Amino acid sequence: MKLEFIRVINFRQFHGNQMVDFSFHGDLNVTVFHGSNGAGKTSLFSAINWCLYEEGTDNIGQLVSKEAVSLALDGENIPCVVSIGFFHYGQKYIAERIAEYKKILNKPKLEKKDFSLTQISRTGDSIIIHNPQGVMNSILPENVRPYFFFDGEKMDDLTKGDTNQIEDAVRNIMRLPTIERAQTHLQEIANEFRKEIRKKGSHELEAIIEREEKIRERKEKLIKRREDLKEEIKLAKQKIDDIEVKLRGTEATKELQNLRDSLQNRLDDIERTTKNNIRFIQKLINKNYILLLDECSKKTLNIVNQKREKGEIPSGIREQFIKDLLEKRICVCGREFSTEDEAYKHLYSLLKRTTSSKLENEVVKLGGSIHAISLFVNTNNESLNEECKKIAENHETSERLYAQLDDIKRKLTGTSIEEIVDLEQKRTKFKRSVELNFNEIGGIENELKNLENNLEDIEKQRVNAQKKEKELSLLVKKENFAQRAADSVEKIKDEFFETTRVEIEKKTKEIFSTLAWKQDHFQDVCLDQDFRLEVIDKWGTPTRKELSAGERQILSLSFITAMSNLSGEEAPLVMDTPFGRLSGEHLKKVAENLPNLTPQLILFVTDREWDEASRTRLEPKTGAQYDLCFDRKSGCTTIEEVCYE
Amino acid sequence: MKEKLLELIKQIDPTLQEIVIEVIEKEREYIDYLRPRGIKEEIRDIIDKYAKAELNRSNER
Repeated sequence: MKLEFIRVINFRQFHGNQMVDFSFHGDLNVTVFHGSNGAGKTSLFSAINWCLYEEGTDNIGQLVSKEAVSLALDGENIPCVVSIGFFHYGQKYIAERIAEYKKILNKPKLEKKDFSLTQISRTGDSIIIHNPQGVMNSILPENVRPYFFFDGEKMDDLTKGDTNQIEDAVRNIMRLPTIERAQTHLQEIANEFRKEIRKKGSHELEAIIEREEKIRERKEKLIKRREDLKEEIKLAKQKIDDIEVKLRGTEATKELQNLRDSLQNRLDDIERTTKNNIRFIQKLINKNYILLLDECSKKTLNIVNQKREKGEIPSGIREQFIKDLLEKRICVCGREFSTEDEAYKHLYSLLKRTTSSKLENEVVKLGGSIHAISLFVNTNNESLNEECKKIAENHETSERLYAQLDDIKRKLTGTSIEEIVDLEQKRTKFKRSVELNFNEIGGIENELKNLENNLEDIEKQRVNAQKKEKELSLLVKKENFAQRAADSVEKIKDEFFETTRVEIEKKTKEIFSTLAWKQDHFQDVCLDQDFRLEVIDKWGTPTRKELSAGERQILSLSFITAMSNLSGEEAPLVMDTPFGRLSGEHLKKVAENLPNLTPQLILFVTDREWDEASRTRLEPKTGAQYDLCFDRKSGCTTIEEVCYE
Repeated sequence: MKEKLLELIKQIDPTLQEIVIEVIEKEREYIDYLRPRGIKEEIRDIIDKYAKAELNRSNER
């Protein structure tokens, strides 16, 4: 930021519209305002602070020109305006602050305030900045302003031991709050992510997978058991077959075994037939919803019949049939008739009773359908009864056959031939084993079916949980990034702060040695880790408290210009009463070196400060000088350019 | 000193470097506000962007 011009309208003692240019080019980067005490140096210095930041006017009294107020009519508006044109990294801006007053009963009343910032292009186009104070602060933050625009007489405050002030200065000018806020926000966000993870991360997917694994394990076990059982059945059946072969081959048991074979074959047939009967019944039952229509269809048929009787719906006489008779004029019996005959009139009256052939068709169809339903219901009922009867008969036959088989078994185990008894007992044992294994297989298959259903449910749950898990893994990643970024910024912040302190210390020492005249007397300048600025004398003792007011000012100036240099901020040094406390060698050195330490220097000096020593050293670098001419009569100051050779 | 700050940032993990630079830039935009509204949401968006990119990269691998 380099200031190009300032325009003041009715600001303090600057009545009317006054404008001056600042010098900021190359070697001529100094602008000097001369003025006696009370001429308006501090007012003009305040005008800069007020315009850019609305600051620095707390202790200077009324802002609007008293002269302007006195000349205004009651009720008239009086504008108090400060406009500053400046360059910032090649862009030209105009900042303007307005306080509009109204004269009421001889006193100014503030009506409105406004601040605007406009970017001016090379071609003269202007862009109004919509967040003017925000942009102004981004150009030169308000909190670093006091280190660029300051009162020289008060600047030694920095050396008086209030370490917070120095630490704040370093923090602000290096824009450390930005890094600190980044760290705070990243840490807060990482904490928030962690809370979200705790809320969402219920290990749901883990539990589902565990459940699924258990089910699959159980399923495998059941399938294995089923296979084993089937094998056992196969072996047992083989044993039974072998025994039966033996029984069939033994004279004493041959007949009984053959009878048993035949009974068993019949039982197999009955079982097959019963299965078919059951399947047929299932089919019939599947269509049985029609049975529910039986009662309803009967009622409908009654209603249709009643309507027919009343002649409300066609009683079977087709419209087209009557129309044909009337057209041909031939009766159903074959007799011809004319339009005058009774037959014609009768047929014509019948035609009136007929309705449309479409409705007629629908009614006929409906009748047919209702009849079909009744017929189906009757047939279906008959078939169902018949099948049930067959099943009952099969049951009876089966029971009889089982009784016969049991009888055969008892006969065989009751025989005196031990071998046959043993064979039959073994056969019974194998038979039981087969039946029990079948029973177990049934249970297994039932359980397998349930497990399959469970697996289907689990698959759905798993898909949902995986979706959640994906969200969770993103959340975990975000938490990881936020926390690591926060930790990194924390480390960077500390390291940057420390590097900054060391660099400022180095630069302050360098500038101090240039500005202080007792260079041999001061050995070192320190900015310790607690941000205490200290000067070490040649005997190695801290000597800050012993410094003169001028030396303290030099130390502060060294520190400020060091910070300004290192911050990289392109900003002017605007100093009110810069040399008030300086004299002799200090004054000479500051006047000689200060223009080299800053891109632009604006000084508000008294006659005493602008003495031979300062004038001769600063004038070669001064591009503009102004006198603040105070008129005792009007109490106003005019700014007049000083022409010098 | 701005260069020094960048130098320090460049010492950290490359993905984090980008996050930190973007977050600091964002903080600069809001530095004038005592209690900046919406900045945390914007920082969350920055982190979200890099986390998603990282997850996509690991999925592709």
